[in-house]
Amino acid sequence: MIAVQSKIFDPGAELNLFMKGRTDKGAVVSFTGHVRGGGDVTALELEHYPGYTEAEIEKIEASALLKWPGIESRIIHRFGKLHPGEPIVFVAVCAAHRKDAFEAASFLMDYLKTGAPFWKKEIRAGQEVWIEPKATDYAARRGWD
Amino acid sequence: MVHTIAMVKILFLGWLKEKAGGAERQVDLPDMATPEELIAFVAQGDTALADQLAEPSIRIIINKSILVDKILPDGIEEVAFMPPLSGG
Repeated sequence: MIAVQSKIFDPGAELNLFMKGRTDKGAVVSFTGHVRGGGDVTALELEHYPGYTEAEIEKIEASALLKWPGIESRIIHRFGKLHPGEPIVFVAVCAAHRKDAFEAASFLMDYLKTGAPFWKKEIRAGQEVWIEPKATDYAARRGWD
Repeated sequence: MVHTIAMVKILFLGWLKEKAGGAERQVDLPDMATPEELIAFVAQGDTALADQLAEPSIRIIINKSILVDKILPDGIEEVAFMPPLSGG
């Protein structure tokens, strides 16, 4: 299940909600990405393409469900203006056993990092800089091929 | 063949909006066959923009589906020009 939203979320609450009532999954792995400050970055601005962005993230999720049958996943990704320290992305995967949960969560993040249709701008002291994935992000994704 | 003109929404995503002078335009799009014709029509004589839109790194999305063919589909309602994405 995916959500693309501007609203801030509580990763702990999302994790609890995701696992609520489940009795057949022995493992859950979650990852939360936070906006990293440092340097002179005061904010990140993320743009998405409504309809298309959700559809592409659903495709990424579907490929994980195919690769690790039996898992379930929750993906939340924010757009809009985000500040250092705020959560930006949340991925949780539950499975019967830990290996699938660890692997699928890692796979989802590697694919989201390079394949999720977002355009990101760093807002630095009065300057705005568009950014692209790093070579290491592409290398991480190729590792799954 | 019936020639029609359709009201189409054109979107420039990410940094392309800065090159295009805006994120969105509504145009009366006449029938056309190829992405090249579409780019020429959208750029309206702005050759710098036309060159930019024709770059291989710029993907064209029509009705929320990425264009992979060299021929435009029928029933275009929305066109988005997509620069390389930043990822999540």
